[in-house]
Amino acid sequence: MPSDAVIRASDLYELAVCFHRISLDRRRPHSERAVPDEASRLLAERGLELERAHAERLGWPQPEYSPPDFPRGAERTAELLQRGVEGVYQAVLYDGRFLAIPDFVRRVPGRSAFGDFHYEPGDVKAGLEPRADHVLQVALAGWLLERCQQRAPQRGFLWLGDGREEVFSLTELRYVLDAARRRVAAIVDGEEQTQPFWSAACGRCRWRERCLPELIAADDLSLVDGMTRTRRRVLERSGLATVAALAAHDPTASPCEDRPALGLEHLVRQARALAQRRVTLARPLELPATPEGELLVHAERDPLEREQVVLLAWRARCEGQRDVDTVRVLLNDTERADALRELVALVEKGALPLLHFGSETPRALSRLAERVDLSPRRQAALDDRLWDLAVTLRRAAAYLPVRRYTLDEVTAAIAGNEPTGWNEPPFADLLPAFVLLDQLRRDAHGPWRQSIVDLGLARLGQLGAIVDWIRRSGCRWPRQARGARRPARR
Amino acid sequence: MTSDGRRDPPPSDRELWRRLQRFLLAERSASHQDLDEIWSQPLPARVESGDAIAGVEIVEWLPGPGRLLVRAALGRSRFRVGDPLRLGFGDDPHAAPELRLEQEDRQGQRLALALPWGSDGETLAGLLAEAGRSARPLVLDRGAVDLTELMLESLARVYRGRGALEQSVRGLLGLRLETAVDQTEAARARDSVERLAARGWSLTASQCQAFVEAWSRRPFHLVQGPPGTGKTWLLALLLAALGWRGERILVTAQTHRAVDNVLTALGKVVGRSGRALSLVRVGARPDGAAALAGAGVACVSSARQVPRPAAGGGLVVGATLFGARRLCAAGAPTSFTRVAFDEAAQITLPHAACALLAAERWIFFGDDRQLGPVVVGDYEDPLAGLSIFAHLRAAQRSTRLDLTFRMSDAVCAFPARAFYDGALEPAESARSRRLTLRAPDGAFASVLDPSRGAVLVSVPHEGHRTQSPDEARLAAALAEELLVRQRLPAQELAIISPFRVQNREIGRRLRERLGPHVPLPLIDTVERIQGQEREAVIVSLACSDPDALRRDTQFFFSPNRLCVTLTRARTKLIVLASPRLLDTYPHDHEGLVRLDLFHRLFRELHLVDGKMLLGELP
Repeated sequence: MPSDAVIRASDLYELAVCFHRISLDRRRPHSERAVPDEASRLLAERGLELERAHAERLGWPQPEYSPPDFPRGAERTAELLQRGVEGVYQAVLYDGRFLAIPDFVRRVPGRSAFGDFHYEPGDVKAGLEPRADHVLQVALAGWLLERCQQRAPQRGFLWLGDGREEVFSLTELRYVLDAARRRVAAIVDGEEQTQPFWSAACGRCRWRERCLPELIAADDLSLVDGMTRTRRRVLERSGLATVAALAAHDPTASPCEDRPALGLEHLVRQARALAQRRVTLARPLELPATPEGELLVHAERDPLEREQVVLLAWRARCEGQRDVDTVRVLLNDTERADALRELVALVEKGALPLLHFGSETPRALSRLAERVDLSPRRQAALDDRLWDLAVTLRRAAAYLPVRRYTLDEVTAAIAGNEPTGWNEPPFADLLPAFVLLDQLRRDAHGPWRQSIVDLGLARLGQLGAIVDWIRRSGCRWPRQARGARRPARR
Repeated sequence: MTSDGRRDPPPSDRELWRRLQRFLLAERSASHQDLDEIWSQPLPARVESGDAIAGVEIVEWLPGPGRLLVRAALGRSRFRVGDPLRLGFGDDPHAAPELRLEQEDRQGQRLALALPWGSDGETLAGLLAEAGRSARPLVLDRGAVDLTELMLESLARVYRGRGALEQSVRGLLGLRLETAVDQTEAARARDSVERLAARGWSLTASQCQAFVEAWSRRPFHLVQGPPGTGKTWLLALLLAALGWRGERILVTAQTHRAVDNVLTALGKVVGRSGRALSLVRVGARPDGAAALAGAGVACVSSARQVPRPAAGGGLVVGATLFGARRLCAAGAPTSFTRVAFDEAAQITLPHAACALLAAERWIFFGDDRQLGPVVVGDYEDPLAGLSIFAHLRAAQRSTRLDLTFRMSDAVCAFPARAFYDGALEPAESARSRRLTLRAPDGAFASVLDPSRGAVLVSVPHEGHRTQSPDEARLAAALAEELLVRQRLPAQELAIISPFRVQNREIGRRLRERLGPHVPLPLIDTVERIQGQEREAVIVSLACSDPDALRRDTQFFFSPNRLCVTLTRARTKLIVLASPRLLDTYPHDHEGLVRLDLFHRLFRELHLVDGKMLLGELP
C-alpha cells in the first residue's frame, strides 16, 4: 500500500486537534512544513526522554526491522508476542492499512491465540492528564492487537509525566474509535475534503506557514471569534463566505428561522469589529473600585514539571506613587512559598484587587496556594480579590478587532495595531516561561533568567495597557467589587 | 497508581479536611460570581432569562412576620418555591432586601414571600415606603443563600472532635471504616420482611437483601436504587420497621421535597399498618405541610419541639441537612440511633457532615448513576462536588435494587446496559407495557409504534448550539399528536431538552398548535423531572455544532443527565437528535467515554429518519 494511504495512530491524534493536517501531511511536500517551535520541541523531547527511561527500566525487547518496512516490523513483533515475552518496546502493529507503534505492549493474563495470556497497549506521555488524542492512539493499538492475538484487550494504559499510570477501559471507547477510524479513512482517501480553520492550535502547527497566510488572504470566516466549522459551512451556503461579507450583512433584514439558533448577531458584530477595525461596547466596562490601588498579576505553570508555578509577577499601582514591579522566577518550593507570602501580604494589607487576564493565572495561584499549604480561608480571600479582565470585556459585550480574545491580541488591538501578517501576534508570542526555564536549567549562566523576568514584565505591561484603556473608555465601578475570576465563555 | 506499580496513598484526615474546605470556599466564590454575572445584566435581559420578574405589585401582607403576597406576570420566571430572592427596584440587587419564595400560584400570577429567619424587616419596610412614595415599579431578582459557614463548622466538628463518634465519622469520610453484618439483627430483619409480606408488602429478592443489609450491617450500608425500583418506598418500610422496634431515626436529604416524599410514604405505611409510630417533620415548608399532615406526620418548626418518644417507643424525624445540623447540635433533646440519607448521590461530603454526627450508624439510599450534587464551579480536585454516595460506593459494598416497576422492557433495555451493567430488568407488571394508541395510523406511525418503546429520530441539522428550530417543530407536532389524536393526558407526557431556550421554543410552538386553553405537558430541563415519571417522554437534544460541543462535553454529554433523561418514560421514549453531534472530539479521556455512550445511543435505539417527518409537517 502506498505510504500516504496508510493510516497511523498519529492521524487519530490529528483528528482531535485539526483534521486538515491529515490531508496536508499527505498532499503537500514536507519541505513546506515549519520547524517545530521551542515549546513543541521541548514537550516532544521530554516525552522521548521519559519513554527511554521506561524502556531502560523495563529492558523489554524491540522488534528488529528498518522503517518504513512495517510489514517486516509487524512480523518481528508477532514473533516476540508469540514467544510470550513480558512486554515489547515499540511494537509494530500493522494490518496493511492501519499502523500503530505503541511505546509499550505488556503481557497480562487471559486466553488468546498466543496461549494463556494476551497483550495490552500503552504509551508514555510528558503531560499529566490523559488527553483524548493520546487515548485514541492507544485505542487504535488495542484494535490492531485484537486482530493479531484474536482477543480484544480490555484495557490500555498511559504512563504520565509525573510517574502515574492511568489505566482505562478500551471497551468504553469502541464506538468512538470506530467513528474516528472511518473519518480518518475518508479524509485519507479523499472522500471527505478538508479546509483550514483558524484555531488556537494554529500558532504552533507545522503547517502554519501555509494555512494562515491562506486564511488571511481569503478573509476566511474562521478568523471571526466564535466561528465554528459548521457555522462557517452554513454561512457559506447562505452566500456569506468572507469576514467582509459577514460584516456587511444585516442579520435582521432577512428573517430566518435559524438566525437565533446560529448566534448570527454575535458573529456579525464580531466580524464588523474585525473588518472595520473598531471597538464597540454594548454596556460600560467595569473595574473594581480601587481607592488604595490595584495589583496586576500574571502567573505561569510548567507542564513539564507537574504544573508547578514557575513565574509569578505583579505590579503594584497605587495612587500618587510610582508603579512597583515584582517578578519572581520560582525554581523550588521555598521560592514558591516566599513569593506567595509576599503577594498575599500585599493583598491583605491594602485589600487590593488582583487584575489578570484569562484562567491561567487563577489556576496557577490555586496550585501555588495548595502547594505551600496556604490556609483555605486565606486562599479563598485571595481568590475573591481576583478580577478577570477577559470577563470585563465579555460582560460589556465588547467587540474588539481581534481574531481571538487572547492577551496578546487584545493588547495589540487596543494599541491600534493591525494583525496583518502571520508573523505578527499571536504568532510572535512571547515564549512561555517553561521553555525559557528549560534553557535556564541547561545553562544557568546564560541570559535565561533575565529573559523570564522580561517575560513577566512584558505581561504586566500588557495588563496595564488594558486597564488604562478600560479607564480611558469610561468605565464604571460595580457596587461590590467581587472577583470575576471565571474565564469568559462566548 | 504509579507507573512502577505503587499505589497512591489515601489522603490523610488533615488533607481531606483542607480539600473539603477549599471546595466549600471556592464554591461560595463561584456562586457569588454567578450571581454577579446575572445581576450585571440589564433588567430586560434578566427578565428574559427568567432570573428576574418586573412589575411586581404588593397585594397584601399575610399573617406572620414579614410575609407578603405579591402579584406579577410570571411568564419566564425560573423561580421555584424555596428560592431566595431580592425585592428592589432592579437597579441594585446587592442592596435589596432578601426574601424567600414560600408559595407560587402560576395561574393566579401570585407569589407568597417571606423574610428569612432572623431578618429584622427594616430594609423591607423602607423599600416598600419608598415604592409607595415614588411609585417606582418593584422587581424581584434572583438571590442566593450562603450556608458555607454552617458546613465549615460541621467539618470543623468532625475533624477537631476527640470523641468516638467524630473519630468514626472521620473514618467514614476517609474510607477506613470496615463494615460487618450483625447476625442477630439480620435475623430480626428477615423476620420483619416476613411480617411485612404477611401484611401485603412483599419485597423482591434485591429489595429483601437491601432491607436486611441496611438494617443489620454496621456501622453503615449503601442501597443503590436505579429509576423506578421503589427506593423511596423501600426506605419507608425500613424506617417503619426500625421505628416499631424502638429506634430513633433521623431521615435527611438535600431538599425539602425529598424529605417530604420519604415521610409521606412512611406515613402511608404506618397508617395502613395500624401500628403507632411517632413521625415528625422539622422545618417543613408551607407547600409541603398539607401532604405531610394528611399522612399523619406532625410538623414542628424547631428541634426543641421534637417530642421525646415514650420509653421503648420509636421515632422518625425528618429534616433537611441544615435542619439536621441543628438536631445534632450539642444539647439537642433527642439522640438518634441512626441517620438515613435519602438521595445520597446528591449530597456532597461537606453537606453530609451536617448530619453524620447525629448518630453512630448510617444508611445511604441513592443512585450515583443519576444526577449528582449541584455544583457551580469547575474543579480539578475529584473530591470537589463528589457525592457521599459515590465516594463511599467506590470503596464499600452496596446493594443494588434490580427490578424497575416503571419502564417497559423496550424502554429499560438501553439504560440497563449503558448505566447498570445489564443488572436492571423490568418487573413483570411493567415488562410488557405498551403505549396505547387510539389512532395507530398517521404521519407519526413509525415513531409512535407501540412495539418500539425507545426511538431515536435523526433530525438533520447543523451549526446549532442550544436551539434547533427543526427539532422544536417536530417535538411540538409529536406532542400535539399524542395529546390530541391519541388523547394522552397532558400530565402523562413530558418534553425534555438540556437547553431552556429550546424548551421555550417548543412550548411556544405547542401553544400555537393547541390554542390558549389546553393544558401543556411539563416542558423543562432534566433537573426538574428527576424523581418523576410519565407514560411518554420526548427528548430534544438540540445541539449540532461539534466545535461548540467540544468545549462543553461535561454538561451536554453527562452520563448522569442522560440516564435520568432516558428513564422517565414508562412506555414510550422519543429522542430527537442530529447525528452531527457525534462529530465532536473532546479534549480528554473522560469526554471520549461520554461521547462513546452517545454513539451507542444512536446505534442501539430504533432509528427513524427525521427528514421525512419534517417534510410532512405543515
